Amino acid sequence: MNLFNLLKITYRSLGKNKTRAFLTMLGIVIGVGAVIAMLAIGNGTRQNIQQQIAGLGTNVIIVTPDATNQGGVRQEVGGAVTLTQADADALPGAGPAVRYASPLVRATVQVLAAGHNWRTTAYGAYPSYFDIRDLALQAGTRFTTRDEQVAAKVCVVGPTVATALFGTTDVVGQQVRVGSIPFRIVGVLVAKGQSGAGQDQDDQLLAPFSTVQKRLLAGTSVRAILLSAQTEARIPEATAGISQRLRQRHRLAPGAPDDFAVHTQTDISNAAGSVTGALTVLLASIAGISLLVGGIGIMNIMLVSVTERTREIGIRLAIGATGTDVLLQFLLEAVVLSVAGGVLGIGLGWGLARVAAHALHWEITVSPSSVGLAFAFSSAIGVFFGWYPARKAAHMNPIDALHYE
Amino acid sequence: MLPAPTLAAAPPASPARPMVQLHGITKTYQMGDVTVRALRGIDLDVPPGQLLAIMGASGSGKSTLMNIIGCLDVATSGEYLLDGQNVERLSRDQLAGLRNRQLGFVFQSYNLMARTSAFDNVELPLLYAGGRSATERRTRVLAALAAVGLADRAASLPNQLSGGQQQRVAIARALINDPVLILADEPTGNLDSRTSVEVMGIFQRLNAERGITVIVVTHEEDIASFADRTLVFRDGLAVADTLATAKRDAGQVLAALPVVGK
Repeated sequence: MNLFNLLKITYRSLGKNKTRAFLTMLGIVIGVGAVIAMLAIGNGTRQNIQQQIAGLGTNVIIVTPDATNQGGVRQEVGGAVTLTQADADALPGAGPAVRYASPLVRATVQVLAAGHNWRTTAYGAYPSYFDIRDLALQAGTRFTTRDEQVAAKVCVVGPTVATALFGTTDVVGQQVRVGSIPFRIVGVLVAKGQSGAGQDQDDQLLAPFSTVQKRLLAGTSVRAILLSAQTEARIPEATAGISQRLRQRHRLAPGAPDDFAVHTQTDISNAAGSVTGALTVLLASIAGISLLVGGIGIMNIMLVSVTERTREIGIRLAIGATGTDVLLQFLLEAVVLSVAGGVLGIGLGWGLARVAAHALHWEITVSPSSVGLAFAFSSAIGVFFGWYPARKAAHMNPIDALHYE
Repeated sequence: MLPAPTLAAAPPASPARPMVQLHGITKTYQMGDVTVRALRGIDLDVPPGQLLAIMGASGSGKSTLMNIIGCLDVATSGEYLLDGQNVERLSRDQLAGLRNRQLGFVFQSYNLMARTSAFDNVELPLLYAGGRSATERRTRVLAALAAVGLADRAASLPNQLSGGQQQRVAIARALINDPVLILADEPTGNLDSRTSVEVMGIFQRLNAERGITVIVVTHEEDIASFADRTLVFRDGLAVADTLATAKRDAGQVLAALPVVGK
């Protein structure tokens, strides 16, 4: 028998049982849909996080104290004073690849204005911090180098802080009290929204480094040094220069471990990438299990249908169908069902991804490779789970099958 | 033209060669502890073009014999030659091929594919045979339906047809690959007497016009009286074998029957 006749027989057979065919497909539709949607959402998450990391600024390099090896006493990371303002000031000299450098300190503060009270994080840094982090202002100006020199009581606030205190972002020139010290607002940041970690990036207050360190913290420690490289390509060069310079300044013997750590955006993005990668694998394997269950569903229905259609198989054998004809017919029915289910599932998955994209406001795209994978997998499931019932049908004894009630 | 090399065992092709040749056919079943001897040594020659009726009570072995002749079952011992060919040594798929091209089956319960049009039912053996274009198949199917008087019911589903019409569709299906032998197992068992005569009329016509050998299993004397020869079975043995002296013509019988209305 030729393949075309077989297709005709299969098509007629499926057409006679549309409801059963649809219900059989449903498992595969949901399985494939889940795989497509999960892979799309996983990829969307990764892209979103990478975007947030890119939002840290352009070509950012972060140096933090690494206190794990000081005088044999293990201390809290970031709690040591191995980095100083002098280190930060020396780093632009670490090589031509370094563009800006700024020390950074942080304090949690209570801000008061117009009878309102707001708890936020105050960062102290040089004016170049705005360049390093790509921070733009919607109103006012940055604080200046002069402000830095005199530890001026001026600040730039994020929109969240401005709105919490004044109910508006039109706050340039207003006075606020940070702790007990009065500050004048000179600028308001452009809203950035939530970070990948769910932190409100607009809930912050920026002031000159010296102001925060001396007036708010009254200490000498530097939490981190933020730098930027001239170009992305020159980040490795800049990193090498920074390490060399800091080792020199800290008088570290050759072979001694660094007492600081240099992070680049690439490091952070790699770390985040491995987390989101694991997440995607997790989501895809859950979806894969539902695809497997769908395949078992097909086998189940095909097995039941072999029993239910015993008489039909008997008639086919009596009028001259060979065992191979019957085997191929049942196999083809299973494959057609799972492939059709796969196609509908791709549609469903695409729809789910669109819904997720709309709800999360992320860019979520269905990749062609995940469509190909789901399609190939669902066809394979048809062959794999269709084989056993088809073989069972093909090996029936024609007389027993004809007299089956 | 050079003669094709002939097989040494091939019998000479002559009109005398029987269509069906059975020698010492036995069939035993194991039903739990009991051994059932369904056939206890059957010798039978059916010449080509004969219309043979096999009669007997249920359990007499007549259906078992039909299954063996129809290549649906294999004898426990004995020899069976169909149109001169020994079927014992054939594989499952070769037997399927025989059923498809040499044999035609008609059953008591019609055994049509449910929810499938008369046309598609009749076409099915052609699809399994392969090798014919869609136009060719269409012509043949319509001709077969016309031969049983159902040219206008090609699109009807089995549940839209009367019992007699369904049986005629089944006969068209049995005819579609030009078989040499038609096997009918109680073909009139579910039909009223007028329709039964009609069905037997179709068999008589196919037998007379196309020379197709027909074997009909029945337990009605009436039906057997349309055959050339009647074989009576009892307890797995043929106990009587008579040639008809007054074979009835279904056409004449039908004309004599009162028309009950359509």
